[in-house]
Amino acid sequence: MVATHYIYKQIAKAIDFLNEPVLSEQVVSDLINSMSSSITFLTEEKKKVVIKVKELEDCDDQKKEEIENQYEEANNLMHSKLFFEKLNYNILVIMDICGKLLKLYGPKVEGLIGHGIIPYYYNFFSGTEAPVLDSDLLYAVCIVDDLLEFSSQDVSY
Amino acid sequence: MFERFVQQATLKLMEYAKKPASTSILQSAVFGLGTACRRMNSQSFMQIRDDILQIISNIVTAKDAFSESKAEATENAIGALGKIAFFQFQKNDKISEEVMLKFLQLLPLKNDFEEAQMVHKMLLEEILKKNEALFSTNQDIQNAAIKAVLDINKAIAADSELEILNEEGKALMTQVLQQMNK
Repeated sequence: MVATHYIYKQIAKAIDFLNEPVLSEQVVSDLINSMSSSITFLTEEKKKVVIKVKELEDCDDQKKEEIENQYEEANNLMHSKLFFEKLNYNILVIMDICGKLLKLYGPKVEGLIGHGIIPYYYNFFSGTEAPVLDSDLLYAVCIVDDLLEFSSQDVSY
Repeated sequence: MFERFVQQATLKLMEYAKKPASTSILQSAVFGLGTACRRMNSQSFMQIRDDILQIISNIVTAKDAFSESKAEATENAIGALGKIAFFQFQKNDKISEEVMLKFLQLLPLKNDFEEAQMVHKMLLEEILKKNEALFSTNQDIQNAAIKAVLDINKAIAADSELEILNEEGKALMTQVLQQMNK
């Protein structure tokens, strides 16, 4: 996950240098599909962490201590929350890249992004899904801001 | 379809701006409202105009509006007001004129540099385009526009670290000042 975050971060930096849509349609399409797959993976990972955190929080102190002593570090409550943050770094960078792509490519990408990536954020925005972290709603509002700014009149979200 | 999306998104953004879970969400929500108002048709806008203006007014007139923690969010609200002033202006409409006047009187922006650059550039562009919202018969608006431009210029001259105009904005400022001096 750290590697993924680093790769996406470099991509976001690279796109910052573009004033024109010079990447080929295939490259852009592959990038969006990759991010869409990442979002799907991150969503599943987040659900697992939510369950683990809930299990730990529901335990009494004695049970918590047993679990924390028994399992690997990654299952520790605090490390679960850190894992959450790492998940969210990726979600933030993906949001950032989508905004940049919408600005550069507009109608050419809004269908792909709208179908493959936006639903994750829009579920928090619309209230369909309760945010787990404070940043869930913030990122959702930010990406909606980008959609409002850069979407074409023909978009069908 | 886009219009429908704008309407739905706007209603939700208004909720988030009225009761923000954090200042960051408030800032993003009010920025989004400004963008939505710039792009929605005037019929849709008129249905929510009063509510949106009230939301912006509450943010801008709050006691802590320009505190360290709230200043950037407030400036995004002012930016939203500017977008409404320019892109939802209605001729011979008292509220439209009041909105424009209020917006101009709140300039320059000095805290959120990104928002400041965008808003000041927007003002200068609309002056050069002779946007009817500025060049109506209302002398108060014209005077306020001139004052806003001079205040932006004065602020930059007084503090070179105040990045409230980007390169494009600086070029537009030069053109506007040249026109004003004619």
